[in-house]
Parts: sequence; C-alpha cells; structure tokens
Amino acid sequence: MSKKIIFESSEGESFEVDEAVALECQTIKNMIEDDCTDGGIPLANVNSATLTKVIDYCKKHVEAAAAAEANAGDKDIYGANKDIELKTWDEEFVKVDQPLLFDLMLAANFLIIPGLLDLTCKTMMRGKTVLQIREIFHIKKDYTDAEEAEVRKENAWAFE
Amino acid sequence: EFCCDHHNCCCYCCFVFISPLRSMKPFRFLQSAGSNRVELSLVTNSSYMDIISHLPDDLLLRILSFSTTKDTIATSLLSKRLRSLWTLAPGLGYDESNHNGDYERFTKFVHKSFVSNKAPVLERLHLSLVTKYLFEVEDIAQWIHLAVSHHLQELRIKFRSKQVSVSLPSSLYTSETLQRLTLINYLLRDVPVHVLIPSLKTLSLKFVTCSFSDKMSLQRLLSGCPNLEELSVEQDIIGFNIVLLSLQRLNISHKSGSKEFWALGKIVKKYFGLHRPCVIDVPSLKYLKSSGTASSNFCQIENMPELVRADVDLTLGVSTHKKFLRALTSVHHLTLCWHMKQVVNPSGRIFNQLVHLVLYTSSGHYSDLVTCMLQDSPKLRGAY
Repeated sequence: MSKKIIFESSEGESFEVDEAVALECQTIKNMIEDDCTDGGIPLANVNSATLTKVIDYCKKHVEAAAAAEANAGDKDIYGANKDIELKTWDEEFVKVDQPLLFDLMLAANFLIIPGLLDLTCKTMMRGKTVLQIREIFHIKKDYTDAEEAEVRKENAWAFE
Repeated sequence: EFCCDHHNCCCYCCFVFISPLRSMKPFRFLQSAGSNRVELSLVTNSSYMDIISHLPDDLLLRILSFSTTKDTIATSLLSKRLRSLWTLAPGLGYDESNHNGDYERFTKFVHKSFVSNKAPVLERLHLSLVTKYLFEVEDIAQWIHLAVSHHLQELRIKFRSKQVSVSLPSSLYTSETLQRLTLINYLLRDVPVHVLIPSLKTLSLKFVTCSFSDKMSLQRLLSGCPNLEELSVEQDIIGFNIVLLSLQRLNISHKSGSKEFWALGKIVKKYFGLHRPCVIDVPSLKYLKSSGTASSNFCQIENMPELVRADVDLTLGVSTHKKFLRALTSVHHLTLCWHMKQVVNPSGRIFNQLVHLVLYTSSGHYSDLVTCMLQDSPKLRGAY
C-alpha cells in the first residue's frame, strides 16, 4: 500500500490521495520532505470544487507517467500517441467556467504545479478581445477619458 | 494594496480575493452543496470584484505572455496597472495575418514592440509569416538577432504560404540560451561552418530543406547541437546524416506536404542522387517513431542499444527495412506496420528484449508473420 496524504479544503472537507499524486505539487513535495504532513494538510485557500479538479489533474498526469513507465520502462519516455492523448485530455480539462479556471490557476500557483499553471494561464486570456477580457474579469476602467486617449495615442502603432 | 515584492504574501491576497468571483455565476451554486449557498450570500455585496488586478506581477505576466503580442499590448487599455506591464512580458508572438496583409505596418509593429520589451529573459519568440517577397525577409534576421541578445529560449518560425529562404543571423547558431527551435516551411541557407547551440534540447523541422548552392547547411545545424535530446523531422530526409550521441527521441515521418514541396523534393533527390548514403547513428535513443518512406532513406543504420520503444511503419524498400529493423533488436516495446507480402521475420534477428508487440499488417499471411515474430522474441509477454 502506498502512503496516503490528506488534504483539507477551505470548507474543511478531507481528500485522501496517494503520496505519488501529492508529489506532483512542489509545495507539498517540500512539506513531505520536511516531514510535516501528519494530520493532514489544511489548504485554507483552495475550495473543495477546485481541489477535486486539481487532484484529478495530478492523478491523470501520474497515471500517464506510470503507464508510460510500464510500457517503455523509462519514466521520461512515452509514446507520441500518449502525448497527444494527454494533450487532448488537458484541453478538455480546462473547458470549465472562468471562475473555476481562475481558482485552478491560483491553486496551481500556490501548490506549484508547473504544468497546470501553464495550462490555465494559456487558456485565461488567449483569443479574447479587450472588451471580453474587461467583461469576464470585471476590470474596472480607472482611466479618465483623457488618460485613455493618451494611452491610445502612446500605443497608436499597436492599435492600427 | 499590492505587495508584489513578496510573492507568498501576494498569493495569499489572491486567495482571499477569490471568493467574490464566485458570485459571477450564482447558478453554479444552486446545484451544489448547501455550504456554498452560505458562502454565496456572504459575498454578494462585494460582487463584480476586479480580480485580475489583484494578481501578482509574475502571474499576470505569465498570462499575458501566452497571447500574441498584439493582444498583449491591447491590454494596456484595460487599467492603469496594465498600462505598461506588457513591456515586461517574457514571450513575444507575431502573426502577420493579423495585420491585414500590410507588411509595412506589420514590421513597424514588430520593431516597436521589440524595442519596448524589457523582459530580462525572453522565453519565447513565435513568428508566423505569410511573406511572399525576398526583400521582406531581411527584417526577420534582425528580429531574431535582437531576440537572441535577450537570452531567447524558444524560437518558432512558420512560413505559411511557401518555403522561404532567408539567412538567419549567425548569433542564433551560437546562442547559449536557446533550448527549443521549430522551423516550418523553410529553406535553410548560410548556416555558418561553426555551429554550437549547447542548450538546444528540442529541434523540430517540418518541410525544411537546404538551397541547392548550400547543401551542407542542414548537416551543419545538426552537427552543432551536442546536447539535443529530441528531434522531429517531418519531411523527406535526403542527403543528410543524423549522428547525435545525446539524442533520446527521434520522430521521422514523411508526410505529404504542399505540391510545391514535393516538386522540390524530386529535384533535391535528383541533385543528391537517389543512392547517396545516409547515416543514422543515435546510440542513446530511447524512443523512435518512423513512418512513411522515411526509414528506406537510410543506408547505414547503427545499433540502438538503449531503445525502449519503437513505432515503425514499413511500406517500401525491403532491403533497407531489414537494416533498419536490425538496428532495433534491443527494443522492449515495438509497434510494427507491415505492408509487404513477405512474411519472414523482418530483421532475421532475435528480439531479445521485446516484451510487448503490436502488429498491423495487410499481408494475407499475417499468421505466419506473427509466428515468426513470436519465435524470435523469447521475452515477449503481450502481442496484439
């Protein structure tokens, strides 16, 4: 039996995961190495819905690496088909509503999961217009009309 | 309000500010547990909170760096905080097709944004170009030179319309920081005699050939990457050798490209001679994928003792295939597509390490083929 690690979400809900899955998070890896994971790890900043997704992500990536290892006998090397399958899985994984995507990004940043952080950052704004970004993220316009005109003028070459 | 110098502290701020966002889509919570509803009622007062502006700089820059540079600069209109943050984005991405076919405007845009960029390390430069005329491509060399001087780590150049010939700056070929290079639809030329890209780990070439007057360019590029781990060549490989001691992954496929490319390929074939020997010597290789007629282009293939996995698609040229397969006898995991009529063991060798075999064949005598392979693979545990 592999060692289990217990996460506690901001709502106080417990999530038991294999140590291998928890090790996907650099922050947790450091804690495990420092031997301070007994009695569970409280994640006051991560809610249950987000934590469930984060664990899904780590599990999938641990499984993919393990499957590659079983097939190929080498952890770093797996077939191109598996690469594509995992990429497709990742793309589906981030097809979530914006608030959850945002939570996932923050959790990946906090727990230090580089793959998930890049994946969520990449999906955050790409292909969206400025108007859409303002709407989705509720970015308040703190420019006066004159100031906005000035920014437009300053970067006029980019807005042509 | 922002404590950007203290990363951890900022992270914490973000998490505190995250709850208000939930109120954006309250219907989400109506379906979920009761506790969430309580949370919802707590936060409705502060709804429509601007969350992006509370992110630490590094996270915001990471988000910005994945957009094209045009989109990144457009965010300067959003708020005061974002007004000049784009100048620090560690990635630059240009797509000429976003500029209404006006090449002059496009170059002006690239120059201006390049000069404005103050990122200490440029992690990415992606160029997607529809350039048609040779005089236009000279700027490209300048941009790349500039990027290399900003410690560029990843470069991707894609010519959309056709194979374009342009000299890349010599500084690129001696870059100490470049880790990943992708070239698409490119006619390589003027590669200097001394190439050394010590950090390059991944090289991807799609429809890349050399100009006729400069047939050694591709060879020189490959020879100057002593630490290359992954090579992907999606094109006809004619007239060059793959001799890379550090290589771990190799993907050679011969997919159909543009008509223009095929015509060019024919001329190149004629020029180099059909039987010019090509050498493949990759002793550290662990993963190999080969499809199309790629494998029949090699005349001398050295053994690959470290090979763990190979996906090989064989169509034509039985004699070279034998050589090709002999080099694979150490493989653990083999997927083989067999399109020929002969049903002898394709290599005539014993696969001592083979534990997993997937066989695709259109041959009528497939059962004989399977028998051959089973007899010659003492460790085989699974075959499909």
